[in-house]
Amino acid sequence: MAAFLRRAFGFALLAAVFAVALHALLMHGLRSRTTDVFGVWNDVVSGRATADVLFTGSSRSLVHFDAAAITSRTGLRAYNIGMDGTQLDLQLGRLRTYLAHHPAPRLVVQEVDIISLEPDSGLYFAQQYAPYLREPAVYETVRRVAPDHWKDRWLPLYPFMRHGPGLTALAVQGLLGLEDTLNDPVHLGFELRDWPWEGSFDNFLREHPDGMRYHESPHAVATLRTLIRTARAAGSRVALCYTPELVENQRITLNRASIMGTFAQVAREEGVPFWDLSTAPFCGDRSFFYNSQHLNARGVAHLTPMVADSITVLMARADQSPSARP
Amino acid sequence: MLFNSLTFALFLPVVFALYWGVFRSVTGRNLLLIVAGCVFYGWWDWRFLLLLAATSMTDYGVALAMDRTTGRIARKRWLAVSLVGNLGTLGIFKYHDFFATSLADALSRAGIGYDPLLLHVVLPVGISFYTFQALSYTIDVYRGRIGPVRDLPTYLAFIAFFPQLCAGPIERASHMLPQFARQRVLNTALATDGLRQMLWGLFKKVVVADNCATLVDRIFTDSDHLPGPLLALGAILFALQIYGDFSGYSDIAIGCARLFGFELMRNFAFPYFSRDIAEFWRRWHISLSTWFRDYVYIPLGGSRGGTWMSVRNTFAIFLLSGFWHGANWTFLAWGFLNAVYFLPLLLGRRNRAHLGTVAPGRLLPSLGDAMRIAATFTLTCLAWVFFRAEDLGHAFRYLGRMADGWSRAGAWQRCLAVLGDHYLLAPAMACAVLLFAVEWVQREHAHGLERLPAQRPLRWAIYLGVLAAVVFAGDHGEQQFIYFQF
Repeated sequence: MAAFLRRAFGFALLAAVFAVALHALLMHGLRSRTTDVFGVWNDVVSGRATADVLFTGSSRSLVHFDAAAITSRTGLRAYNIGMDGTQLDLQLGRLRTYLAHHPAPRLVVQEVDIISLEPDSGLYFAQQYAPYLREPAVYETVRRVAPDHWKDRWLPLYPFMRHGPGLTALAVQGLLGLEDTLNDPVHLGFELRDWPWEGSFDNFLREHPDGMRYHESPHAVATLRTLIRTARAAGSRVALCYTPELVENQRITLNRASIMGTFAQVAREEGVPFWDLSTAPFCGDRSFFYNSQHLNARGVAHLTPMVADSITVLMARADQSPSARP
Repeated sequence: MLFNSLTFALFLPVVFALYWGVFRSVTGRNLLLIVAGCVFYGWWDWRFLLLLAATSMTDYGVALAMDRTTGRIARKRWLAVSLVGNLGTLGIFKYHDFFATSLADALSRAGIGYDPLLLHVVLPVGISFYTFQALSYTIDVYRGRIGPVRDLPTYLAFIAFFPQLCAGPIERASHMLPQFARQRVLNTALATDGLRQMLWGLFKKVVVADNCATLVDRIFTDSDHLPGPLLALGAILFALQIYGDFSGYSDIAIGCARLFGFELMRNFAFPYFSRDIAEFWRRWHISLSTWFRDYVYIPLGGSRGGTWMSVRNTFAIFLLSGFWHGANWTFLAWGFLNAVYFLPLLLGRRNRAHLGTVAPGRLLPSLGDAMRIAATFTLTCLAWVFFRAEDLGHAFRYLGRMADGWSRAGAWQRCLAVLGDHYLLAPAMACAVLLFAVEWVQREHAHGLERLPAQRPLRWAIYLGVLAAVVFAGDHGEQQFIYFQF
């Protein structure tokens, strides 16, 4: 029996060493990526995304705020850390991670939308978090949303088992420098989605002929307040921004007034501006959108000057009244 | 609890350490195995432990009662109690709704309205396996092949032995009970080989079977809209899936039992290298085939009563075997089709033409053997369509469409488009080729990793390679084993 245990233990030890080494190597590959979502994460955790204006939020932040265009219009360095498929909890985690690795930006623009106050319903594209679970803020929020992600953090190679060969392929690409940098759709955290109208909204309309009501979770409201206070505590100004949304969707949202009222109330009570850009005239025209919530390239081109002007005005006011610092 | 889960990866070492390190007596170890069996089974649904306990205790009592009785009639009555108890439980949980709806269908065709009472009960995992294993005990006691077990922990440990509780191999009491009654010692060579067999089983399950499963599900679900070549591929992939799934489970079960000092019977002997359907059935799910042979075919007269009786008995066991798998006409059709495949061999007295391993001592088979293997595999794949289909209509439509679209360029483009969505198919296919290559080389041994190079570094490199394939090419969605539903 002793011989068997010795042999089994010896092999298990070898396998464990092998697994830990391979895990470290593959994670290094993911952390070496410069494109797609991993590229943005790597900018965030390695202090390469220093900005005067930081955009944060969900996919509507990701695809609406063209950081480079804002920079050229305002003269302020901008970066976008908006994340696809996320609610406020995860956005707060990402902001905290950003602040842990960067000087505080002068302005944080927090994107809000009609589903911002919905409770978290899980991780979208969960593999993106795997290389960054050693970041306390990331780990804490990911665990809250998906408790069993402790396995990704602590078990060697587990993320590659859970998320499949796709993640391994990305890691190997990163290790060997084989990324397709020429066709990367993400630049300074902004992803240009010049997609045609996709039609999902028409199905949505058919499925909800009597309109749609969205949740207003007290936890989400509290998280929004925490997010604002976190940024302000770091020394940043904050603005809430409701980016353009197709008017047809606004009309079928039964509790839209209540949700907008909540955003306005939070902004008022926290002393930050609330920019509602969903009243822009082009919100009635589908040709500016690829679905009811997201602008295409044409829409972003129309939105950018509006956002840039709002930023310029806000920063000018701030510069004129230094006593009004956050 | 699933063998391919993290929970089991933690459960097994704990039970192993307690078994060899803490509990030293036979009774202590048997009690531990009972508790482990309950945890393992109860992980799925603890309420069905009561069912397991009830049927086990009935059989335990019946065997003791049979032993106390000398009269043949009385012994027969006690056996009937066991048969009714076990098969009745199986009937209620597995077959009641099928018979009720079939009766209602038949009556409605005759113009008689009948609203059947349906139970809609959940099928307890492994019920067909542990029921048949328990029956082997009471029947063997009735026949006088073995005496009854008086020590309750020994009997319950035999029934609740977790490696084979949910999906076999369906053991014989005469083979297993003596192993539970004696003191076990850890045999290093046996335990090491057990670990190797578990590793190989895990590879077959998560790398080959589970990766094939995704595309198989899609093809069978959309079969009415897909071209023939893709349907043919679906049938082949299902053959790979079910082999990887079930033989993988059996390998893990047998290997796991070895860690605890037990030898389970072999359940698969490289069936896809069979040269005819009779050989296939000697190599596929051996524990079930031999169960039906020992407890149905031979009592019915076997082949002793002439050709007609042989044919009748052959059809009986194939139909029963099909029906054992599930309450659906598709399983009966699958059994019937296999009986039809078997018939020419039986009538031509060629059903025992291939008893040994194919091409022993040679690298490659002869051309004739290769063609026979290919033909047997093709027939098996066609039969699997019935096994996998939702209903008979689906199976016939699937087979009908399989011949369609082979000469249309559009059909091939559609095939490529569907396959393009499944980027894991290529590594899964590569691993399936590797699986069969390794098993071909090892076909004279018990499992794919039994005979390895003598040098330890080389052996360990092979283990690490298989582990790496499991980690990086496996599907880790913890998919249930197909045979759990039976």
